Amino acid sequence: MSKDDRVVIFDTGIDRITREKLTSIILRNTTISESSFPKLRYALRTNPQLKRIEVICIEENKETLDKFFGIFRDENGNIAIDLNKIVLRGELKSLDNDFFTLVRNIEIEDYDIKEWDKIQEKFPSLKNVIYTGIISENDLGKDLTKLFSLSKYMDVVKLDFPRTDTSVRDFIKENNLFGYILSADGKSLINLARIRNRRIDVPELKINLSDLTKIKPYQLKNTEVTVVIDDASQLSREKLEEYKHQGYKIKKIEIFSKENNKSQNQPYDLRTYIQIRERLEELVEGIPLHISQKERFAEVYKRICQSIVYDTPAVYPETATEKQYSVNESSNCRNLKNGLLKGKCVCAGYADILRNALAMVGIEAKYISGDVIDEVISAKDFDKRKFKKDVNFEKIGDKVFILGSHAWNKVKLDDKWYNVDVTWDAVKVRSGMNPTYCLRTDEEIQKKEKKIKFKGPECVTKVDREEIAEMFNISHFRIGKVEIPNMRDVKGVLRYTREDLADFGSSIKRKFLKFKERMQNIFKREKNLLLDESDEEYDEYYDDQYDSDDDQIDDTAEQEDGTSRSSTQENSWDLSNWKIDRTEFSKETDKIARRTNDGRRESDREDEIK
Amino acid sequence: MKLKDKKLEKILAYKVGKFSGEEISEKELSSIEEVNISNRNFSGEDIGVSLQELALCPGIRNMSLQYFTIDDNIVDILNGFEFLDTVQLSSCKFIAKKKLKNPSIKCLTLNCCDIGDYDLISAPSVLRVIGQEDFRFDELEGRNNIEKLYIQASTVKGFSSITDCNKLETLNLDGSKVDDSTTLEELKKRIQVSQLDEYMPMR
Repeated sequence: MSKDDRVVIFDTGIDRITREKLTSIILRNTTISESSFPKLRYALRTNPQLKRIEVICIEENKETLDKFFGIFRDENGNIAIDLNKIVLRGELKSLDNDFFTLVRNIEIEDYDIKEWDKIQEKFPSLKNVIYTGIISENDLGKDLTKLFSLSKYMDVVKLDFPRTDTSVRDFIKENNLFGYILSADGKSLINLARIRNRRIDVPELKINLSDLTKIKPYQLKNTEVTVVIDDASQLSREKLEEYKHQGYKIKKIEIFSKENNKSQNQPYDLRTYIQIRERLEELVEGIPLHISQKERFAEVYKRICQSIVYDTPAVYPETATEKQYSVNESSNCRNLKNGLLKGKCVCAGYADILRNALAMVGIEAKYISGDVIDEVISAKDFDKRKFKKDVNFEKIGDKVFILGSHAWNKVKLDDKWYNVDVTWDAVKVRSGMNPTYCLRTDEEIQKKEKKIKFKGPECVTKVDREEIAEMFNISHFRIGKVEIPNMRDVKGVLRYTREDLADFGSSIKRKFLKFKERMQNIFKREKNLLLDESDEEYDEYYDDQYDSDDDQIDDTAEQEDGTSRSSTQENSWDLSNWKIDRTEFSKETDKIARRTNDGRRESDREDEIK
Repeated sequence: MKLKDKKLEKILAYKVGKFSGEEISEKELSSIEEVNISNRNFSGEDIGVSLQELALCPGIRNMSLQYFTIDDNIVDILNGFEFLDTVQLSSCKFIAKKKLKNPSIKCLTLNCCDIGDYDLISAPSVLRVIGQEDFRFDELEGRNNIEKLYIQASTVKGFSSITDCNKLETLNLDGSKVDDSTTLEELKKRIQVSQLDEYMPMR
């Protein structure tokens, strides 16, 4: 029965009820004259097809109102009509009548909702309340008792509470109101007890996965359901198939977290979600759950870095095609979709993927958004320079901080929280280096990474770089098959040379310089020989050069005055400044790595003997 | 229609909103404008996708390839697309002898690629080079076409030849080192140059 089927009855239209076999009528007490009451009373009693009689009450004197409600009674004053058919609305707040004590259905308006207490008192036989408005915190007061006293009479109460507000959910828990559930988007308070007895009549319903099975599929009728989950680990394709088989019409999946941005909390259609979930399963495939949390984390982090690239055109488009792409993909490059299905995304996408992928291996992570100080300039320069209109900046005194928005994660490993930035580490890890922006404290990211205005759990535990290198087992840089300096190998060398790890840091650069000089000399002198020699001969040659000179690798890199001796010392770590042929260098370093391993094995043997 | 390469078929099926195994029509293939293909799974194993049948998607405008060995066949494929506008190659190894030169390409991104001969790559108007340890700018062909140049988290050799780039409007060197600071300083006077210490993409 739609609203359009309802017919308003005036004095002259009473005959229509019988003639047209009307099923739904509207009566207004002020538009039907007293002389027509007997005719109307007869029509109501002799037309059983009438399913709904909507009565609009407008203020009148008590006597006239009594006479009007007499149309529902017989000659003896007894109720002569099924009260379930009558829906009362109008000025309920200000009116009163004995008939009200019998009324079961009322429709209330926005202006009545604040007086809900009084209305409830006035209608003691109440069974159903129709209210199409949205209730906010201001309407019924902060005490949620009133809200729940209203929801007793309704299938679904529409709410306008902040989505992240847990007050309603907490109230349900604290008061053991198991007959109620709050929809996942916080916009509908569902009275389960009522809808279990009859089919729900709402076109769409957004519901938490944990609440879904509280409503039977037949009760949902044709309702299209959006299931809300905390992360993608909670809902597999198989589980979705199972729900479908049971009769649920799940149309969309929303991955909701209060820290997420809009793009991430936007629901995915079912097909896209299944594809995303399959890709996440591939991402964590083969990562055993019995290894430590840190090992699991490192593997997931590494895989994301190595598989997903930063989608520069999505953020910094240069051509017309890229600008169009940037507009079209603005949302998808910031959630799970593009990163997992296309292999490219921006920071928000990386952070969303890491959060969900870690959840798949049982690790909790949060999406964090904040600002990064891009540049600090004087207020004068700021005015001079032509920044784009949408530039994000903050003026403090005579300084202007140019800010960029960014997203990363906080991850919980062995009960401690850490900042991790997979976006900034992606290129490094892909190039075979150790991650730099991984497992950092809040203080470190503020000072070293200039990240500000972020929230989330406090991160205070420091992790030294060696531990990270061990976790990732990635070399500092890679040339050919040789990875230098992998911390495991470095430690092997130190065990062999009996050096203290703490001293190693200060001496390694000098050793590097020495090594560099040697390599340059070798290549300069022996280039032809190296190219012609067989490996075996070369090994002998190499051994002659290096076998007994460990003692020579010392502090000779400093000049007498203590200053650095090479003008390129600052860049001595940078192999591109070594002016050495890479292929040949690779051969050389391969041999050193072999020697290091041999040293470690020998040292291990010595340890065993001891 | 069925494709010979089942892995490519699965990727293209995803692209047109189908699950693997569902048949893709010729019309659907022609409608594809963007493909993103990785030749490695998340565990780092090569999966051996063949790109030959990409020719069935002549409408491709935007292509992203990861972990491919770029040989002459792939170069032919890339050069053969009439509408190809944007190409992103990540962790690809170039062994081709043929030149990657498709006049329709406007934007090329090289991300952590292993490139022996830069003279086999023809620079489009927008070039992005990220994570290239030894980017030989002086070897790059057609560098005078470049209008927007991003060289990020890379080390650049032969930077002085940037003076050939008459059309250059923007230069971004975030996280990169160049071998000629004098030329760079000169350039800064002429065009907008960004050179942050680290490559830290945001937003």
